[in-house]
Amino acid sequence: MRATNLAFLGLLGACDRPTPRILCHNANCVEPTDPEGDDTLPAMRESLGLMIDGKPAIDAIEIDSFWRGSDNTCLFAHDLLGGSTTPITDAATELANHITTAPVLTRHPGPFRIFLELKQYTDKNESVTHTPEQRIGHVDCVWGVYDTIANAAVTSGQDVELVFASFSPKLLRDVIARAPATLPIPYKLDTFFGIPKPLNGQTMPLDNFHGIPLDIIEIHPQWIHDAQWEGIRSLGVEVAFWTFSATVETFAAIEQYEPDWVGTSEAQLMVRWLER
Amino acid sequence: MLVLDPMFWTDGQHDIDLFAFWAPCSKAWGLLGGWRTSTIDLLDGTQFQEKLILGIGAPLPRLSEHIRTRFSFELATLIVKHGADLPSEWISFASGRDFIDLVNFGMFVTVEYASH
Repeated sequence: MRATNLAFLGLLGACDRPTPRILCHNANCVEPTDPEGDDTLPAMRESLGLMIDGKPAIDAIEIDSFWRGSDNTCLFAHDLLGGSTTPITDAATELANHITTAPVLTRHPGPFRIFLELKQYTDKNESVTHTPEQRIGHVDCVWGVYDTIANAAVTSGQDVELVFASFSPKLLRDVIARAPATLPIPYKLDTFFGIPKPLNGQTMPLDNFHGIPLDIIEIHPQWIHDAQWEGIRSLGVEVAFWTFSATVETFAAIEQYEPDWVGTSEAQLMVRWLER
Repeated sequence: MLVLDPMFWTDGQHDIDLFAFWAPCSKAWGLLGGWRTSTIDLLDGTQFQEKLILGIGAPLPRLSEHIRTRFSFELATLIVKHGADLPSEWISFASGRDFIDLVNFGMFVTVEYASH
């Protein structure tokens, strides 16, 4: 083949569209975007059941666990503002039922992932965080979710992975420390780069995660600069974008950075944009 | 001023801006306001995103007697997205999660030609 043809094919190859896997953000990714439905069982059921062209719309789902400090209860909730009283065990049971009954779990090849976030505050006031005892309670709670998911995966023979995610390095360290002796399905560790200070105070410097074998870092595509991106990529971790409502800026960032995952509250829009 | 997007053929997206700029004199900073309609190609459809544009602009050095340039900083707020047989979505300020993605900042340069 002549060199000019090879060069032309090379140019075309460089124009490949990104092919991130689809992560259902806050277990609520059926349009329209409605954050008030985040981390609720009805939205989770609808999201898990969403099909596009006969295939699931998503490859993974994120659920949030919230440790309510006032009565030390482990909830399926993004925060306490919505008044959720749903135990996280209800979400785990719902996911286990889906794993054991759905013929196909993912849109793209690969394991079905459940991203399980451990919220780092324990009150409506985001400055109130776990006591050491509450951290242990929260971590044991999410390992209970792992047991439920793992049993369903093993029973059904489905390929499932669980990701423990948190802004808090202390919670992730306790997840590692309290891991059970036997692990029927793989687990991974994940943290976030959110909205920067002073707008939001949750994001920690990466130095604070020293010694934690992170597998994934989730970032917001509209709050990132190239130096951060290069730093994160140099760690060799997977990168996920998290978004609620996609704009042209979101799409431009996906094309520029080509993340491994896109967390979205609009699964149909994202699939139809990626597969256009 | 009507602005067309010359890059639509590379990304399947097309922005059309209609905005006005006002400054007390040609050498002064001024205010801009307008509307941007973005069309986004999807599988089996097109989504439209409608944005309100507010911003400020400042003159840059003139390139010639007939050409002037201006630097602008914009706040683009997505008001509604619609089309492609997907439910329409209007901006809400009920919580930060409702609008965090819908407010974006941008910068651009305009090059203006006048024959007189």
